[in-house]
Amino acid sequence: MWILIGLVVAGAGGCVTRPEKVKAREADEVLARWVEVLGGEKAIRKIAGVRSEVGLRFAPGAPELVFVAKETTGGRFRWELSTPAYWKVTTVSDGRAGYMMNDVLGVGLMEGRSFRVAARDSDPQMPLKLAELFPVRRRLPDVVENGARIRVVELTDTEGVKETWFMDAESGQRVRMERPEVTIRCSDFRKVGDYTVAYAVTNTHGAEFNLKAVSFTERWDDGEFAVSPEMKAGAQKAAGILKRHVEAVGGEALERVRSRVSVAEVDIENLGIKFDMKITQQRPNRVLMEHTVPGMGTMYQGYDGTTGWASSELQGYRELKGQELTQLLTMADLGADTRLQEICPFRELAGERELPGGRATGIKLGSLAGPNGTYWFDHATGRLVRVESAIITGPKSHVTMTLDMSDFREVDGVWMAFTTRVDNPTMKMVTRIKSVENNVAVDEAIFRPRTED
Amino acid sequence: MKLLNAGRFLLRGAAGVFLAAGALRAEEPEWKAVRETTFDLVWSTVNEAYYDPTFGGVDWAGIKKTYQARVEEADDKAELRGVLQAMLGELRKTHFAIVPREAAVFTPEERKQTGTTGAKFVTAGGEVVVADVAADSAAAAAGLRNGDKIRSVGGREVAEVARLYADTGVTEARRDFYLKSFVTAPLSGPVGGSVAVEVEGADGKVRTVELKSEMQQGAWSEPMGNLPSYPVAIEARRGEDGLGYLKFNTFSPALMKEIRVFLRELRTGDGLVIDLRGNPGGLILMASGLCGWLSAEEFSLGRMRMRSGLMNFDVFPQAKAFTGPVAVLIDSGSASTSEVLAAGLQEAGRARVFGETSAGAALPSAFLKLPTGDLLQYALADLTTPGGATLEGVGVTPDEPVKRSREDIAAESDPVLEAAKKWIGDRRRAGEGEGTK
Repeated sequence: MWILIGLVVAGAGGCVTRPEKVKAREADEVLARWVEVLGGEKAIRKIAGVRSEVGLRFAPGAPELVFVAKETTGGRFRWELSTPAYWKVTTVSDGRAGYMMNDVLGVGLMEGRSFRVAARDSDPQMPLKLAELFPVRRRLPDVVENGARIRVVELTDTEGVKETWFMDAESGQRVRMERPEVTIRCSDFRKVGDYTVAYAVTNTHGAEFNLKAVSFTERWDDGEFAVSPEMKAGAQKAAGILKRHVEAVGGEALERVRSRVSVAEVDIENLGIKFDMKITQQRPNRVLMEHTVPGMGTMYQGYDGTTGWASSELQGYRELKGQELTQLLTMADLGADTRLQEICPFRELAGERELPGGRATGIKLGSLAGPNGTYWFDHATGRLVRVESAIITGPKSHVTMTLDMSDFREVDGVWMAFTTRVDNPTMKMVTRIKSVENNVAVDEAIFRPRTED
Repeated sequence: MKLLNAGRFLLRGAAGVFLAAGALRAEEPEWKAVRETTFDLVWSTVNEAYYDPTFGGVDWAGIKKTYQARVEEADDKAELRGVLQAMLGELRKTHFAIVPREAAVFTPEERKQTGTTGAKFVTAGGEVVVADVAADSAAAAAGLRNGDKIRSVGGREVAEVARLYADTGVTEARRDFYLKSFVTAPLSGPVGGSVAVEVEGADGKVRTVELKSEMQQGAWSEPMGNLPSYPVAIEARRGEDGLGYLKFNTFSPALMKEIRVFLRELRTGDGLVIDLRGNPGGLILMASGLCGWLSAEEFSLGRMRMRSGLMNFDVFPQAKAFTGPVAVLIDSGSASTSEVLAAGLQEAGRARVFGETSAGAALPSAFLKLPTGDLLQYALADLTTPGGATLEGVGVTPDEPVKRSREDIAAESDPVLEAAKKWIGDRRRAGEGEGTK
């Protein structure tokens, strides 16, 4: 049947050359073998749901977290992740969207491509739906890896996104998937009843999944995948506000900005200190911040794509790690303003408030690393106008702060706050942008660590 | 952010009070408004920034009412300053002060007007003693000699002030710290001024000399926002015996380059003495920067806890850092950042501390310009060692307590330095040139 579907799809296109047809047929042969080694079509079709208990590490050497997944057909799933800092994060998908829930972090909405891929991958009957999910399939030349012959298949999904599967010629198992955003490796295949499953999965983001137990069921309680209407409404509203913010910023125009050089005057009002700060940003993630404080000397912070670093006349050179590095990478990300949804998957509406510029709605944003703070969006413009959060001031150091943004001006189609005011227990700091230049040529060398004083 | 010491500005604050009292009668028609705005700003700044929301049990709201009534009777800036200083004193913490504008130096012109007698002072046995007299200085011309005891300054007896400080229940180290400031503050007044000082020589004879203020020679730090400029001095030398000696009068970024160059020139197998006696502190980040040249490992010097948030003073090892034995010398004149550095190195096991208990005046602070032109110094945070020990009101206890007596000073002998040298010598002979960790 999978061969038939493949031929029909290919034929319906009417524009597939003969060699492409051959490649498609060969691909489907490889995929058919994969279905067989998984347990066969008949056995797979019987699966209504899978319950997996997994030891999950987000990075090699990181603490192992307990991850329990209950997955059924139609893109419905329930994932429960126990995290040390914020206890349990539950993600429930009703097939149309995913909702992440945590008592501290709030509710997160999974949607878009990341949700569609998760829903596709979690469907236990996915191996039987390849032709539907990947209308275009091509066999690529085999490769030899560590002495083993690997069959290679390129699949293109309904959105036109390609991924490449690497199938061990001997066992027929899928050992690797290369996707635009990540590569996934599978190993330690074991027989569980009628089925074969990978007990070890890693990805190029550093995550390691070690399967502890798995069971298959032919029936499932649909209540497991139910999401309350209130929760859906709250998550949708928060997502709507964030989407509006992207439009208000000028998201499309921002995508065209490949580099930026800004100079701002920094005025620490309560200490009577004023200085200029120059920030150079370049996609994908390069940044250099430099400023000279009168009486204190020159300070630099930068990221060259590999190393986050700081250098000053007072404290010398050091590499930035942990939260300090994360904060710097946010500065390095020219598109961070438009990727709040991605960076902060958890959201909880925090009410409305009258701010100096008008009425605003607050959303508490967070990620698995913890709460990011409360972000306030202006009702009239949709712009982000206030952040109540914490500044990372060093390893294990943070200071709570309120950051207010005003004086929005358009630069090359992107709306920027030309004045920001930071208020925290130690300083009241106003930053006023003096100049902004987009898409200027930047020498990569400037981002490199300055280890010499 | 600047995090500053107590000592220097307690000192300057005191100087301003003494020199300016009664001389600055404000006759501007807006005086009442300026007075009220200044009072409100001082009270509310402390109210918002004080690191302990309970104010250590002090009724800060009640204090506002009490002092508001007193402020309404302040007819001039000097009186207002006195009331505000008294209000801040209710907190019973260091680093809360009103620094008179006249006592703060911001411009090159003001540097030329700020004087010195050319004498340095220390406390020994609860007395203020002349410890160093610059050649060709006003102090030398007046016949001051090492070991001379100061009995009175401007007609006020040192012993009487010492009793007043003792009555407040402060530690001996803190008393000595204040006492030294009481003597030195009037002696750093405007160039051309003079102060009568009663001196008791090593022979027991008492004499009165008129000490003139002359222009400060040497380098000054650059002002940093509201933080004034001040004279900086450094002594950094490496003897042929491989013993390095580093002494500087304050933690100022202006000295950092020289310190860095000096520390980089130390060799494997050398020893190092850091003499923080009489150093009232300065920019706290400089302490962690300096220690980066003394360790191959990352460690923390201390922790600053604000009302919300905290900040570690982390030491980031620098390439080719000196890892040989380090001795730190302290006395009651070592305050604030000096104490952070001494306690941090001591707790990390990176240095052995010699001398006398430090001032116990260690709170990170900032300066705010007031409508009167004066400066408010206010503590932003509590400060503890990495192990959680409080320095404020306690100080650093040396690993090897060694006193330097008035007789030692007169004879120009330094048993504290000698003890440190002996320890370093022992360590080097034992081949432990890789530090004490």
